[in-house]
Amino acid sequence: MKDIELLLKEKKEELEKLEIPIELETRLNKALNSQKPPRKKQGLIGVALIMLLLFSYNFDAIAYYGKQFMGYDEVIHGALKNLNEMGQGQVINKSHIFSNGIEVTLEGIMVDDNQLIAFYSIKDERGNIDDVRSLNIKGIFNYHMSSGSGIINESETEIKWVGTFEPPKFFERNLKFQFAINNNNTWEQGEIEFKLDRSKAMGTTIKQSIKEKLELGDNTINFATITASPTVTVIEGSIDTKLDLYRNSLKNTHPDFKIDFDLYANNEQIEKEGMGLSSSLRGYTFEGRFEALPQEIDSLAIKVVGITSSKPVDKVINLDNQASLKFSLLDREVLIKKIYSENDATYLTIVTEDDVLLEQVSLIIDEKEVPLERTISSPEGLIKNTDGSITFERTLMFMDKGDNLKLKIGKIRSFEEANKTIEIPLD
Amino acid sequence: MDKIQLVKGAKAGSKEALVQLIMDNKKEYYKLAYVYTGRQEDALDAMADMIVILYENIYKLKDEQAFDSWSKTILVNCCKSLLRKRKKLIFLEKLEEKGYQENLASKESKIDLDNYLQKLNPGQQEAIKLKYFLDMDNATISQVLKVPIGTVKSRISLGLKKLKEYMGGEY
Repeated sequence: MKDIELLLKEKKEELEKLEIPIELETRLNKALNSQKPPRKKQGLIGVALIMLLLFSYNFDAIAYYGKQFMGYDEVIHGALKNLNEMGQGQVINKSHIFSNGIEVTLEGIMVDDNQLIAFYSIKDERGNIDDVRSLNIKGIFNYHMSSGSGIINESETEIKWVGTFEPPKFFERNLKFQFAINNNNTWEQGEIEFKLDRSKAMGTTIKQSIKEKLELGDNTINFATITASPTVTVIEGSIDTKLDLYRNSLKNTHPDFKIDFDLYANNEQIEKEGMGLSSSLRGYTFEGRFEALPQEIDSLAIKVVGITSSKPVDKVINLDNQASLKFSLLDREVLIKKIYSENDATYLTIVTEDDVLLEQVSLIIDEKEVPLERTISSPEGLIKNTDGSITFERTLMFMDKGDNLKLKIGKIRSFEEANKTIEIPLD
Repeated sequence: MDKIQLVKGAKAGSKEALVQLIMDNKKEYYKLAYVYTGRQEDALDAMADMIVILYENIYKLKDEQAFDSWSKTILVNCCKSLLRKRKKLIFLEKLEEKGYQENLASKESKIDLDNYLQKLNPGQQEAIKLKYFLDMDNATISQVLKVPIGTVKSRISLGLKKLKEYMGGEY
């Protein structure tokens, strides 16, 4: 399987070097030119649309409830046996019927410290099942819907939703599930009242601070907390970096690095469900989401795989003698294996370790800067060396030729291995 | 300008803000379109289709944070509908080329990943491409494709398994 992943990776690197056509912006502007401003509606709109798009991470965990609340099993997948055996969750089974006949039924809920999950259905004989908007759970505070997933029956008269909401505060008891429809341009509100039964809430949650730091190159990774609820395990933390955050933030660019870590319980890896990184002037914060932990835990550990980041090098390499040449960029070796020109284009065949990617590359040909046209994968591509290392060979193509060549490299993107384990104490 | 501000601007009807939102992340969008269409011209067409749909519908977007996954879902759908149209158009051309391709395949000892990927069903293909070519995690893929995360996982693992089978003894 590993080799297939290597092949896939090779394709990815190819794609990574794809040049974006300069006409893109013009095309986008042109496409919009003839567009009239869209009509706007008053009030509460658009929630259903977003709900369709935002999926929660927790579908595996709620498999059991999918079976319990009939007909939801297609919305959710997989199974968490432990959860199944716990048999918790609160059946509500109350409906609200709007004046135009649309019926909303709240079949049940599940609550833990990370979220509230509502199982509800919307029925309408005429098929207007998309009309219910602005879903909300209201107690003393308001809890918004963060994500959801629905499945529509064949006749399109019923949709069954699994929606996740922010978890209600510990003091909340009487809650209202609120929603609205737009009936002939007036908003009609509907609600279903229910009492939150904490005894039916989902098991216990481990909330623990980790407070472990890990130095990795120029970065310090701080693992702050782990929150393990019966439906999901969340690890949060922050990264201090010497990279130029301020400038990045001004340019509104995405964080140009990635952190990768795995979670192990009882020495078995817990399935990773998502990894998020967000940046602000103060730094990066990350969140890793994993499946729920097993009930019996003897050990819990985070294994930090490493960080992939881009660092500026701003280097110009003289290629005068047109022969092969080796140089280092931030301790990573780059080999220029071959330089040749063909049909008015210059080609450089380069070899690096497989995780290294050169960015902002151009070739200065007789004092004129020529951008990288494209990168061609060598037939050999990824090469496994006898010492177990993997190198990546590819050819850079520049659309001009000349005698005096200088290679200009702005940034280098590489993976920095950490391979460190952080044990999380269990009491 | 802050991204949320731009989304708000676009919601208020600013074409400039919307174009800037896309241009600020042009590489991600273009790569996504390219992975589906495989051609520069088609990728550009799909993005042009996308921006019109975004412009017409962005007022419905309540959560500004969701702009990314919302717009990418729309881009994927634009790519797919473009490919459906193309499929009808290039059918003949493809038939003629087949002999040549077969010939090439038998000569090449090197495995052509694209050929094998094409043998997978569309769902597996796209899940594998999004995961391995665009580095999306399972949760993001499920957001963009609007399928449950469990389905994403099973598509990827089945797809990889099939790829391995196709590649037979060589890999």
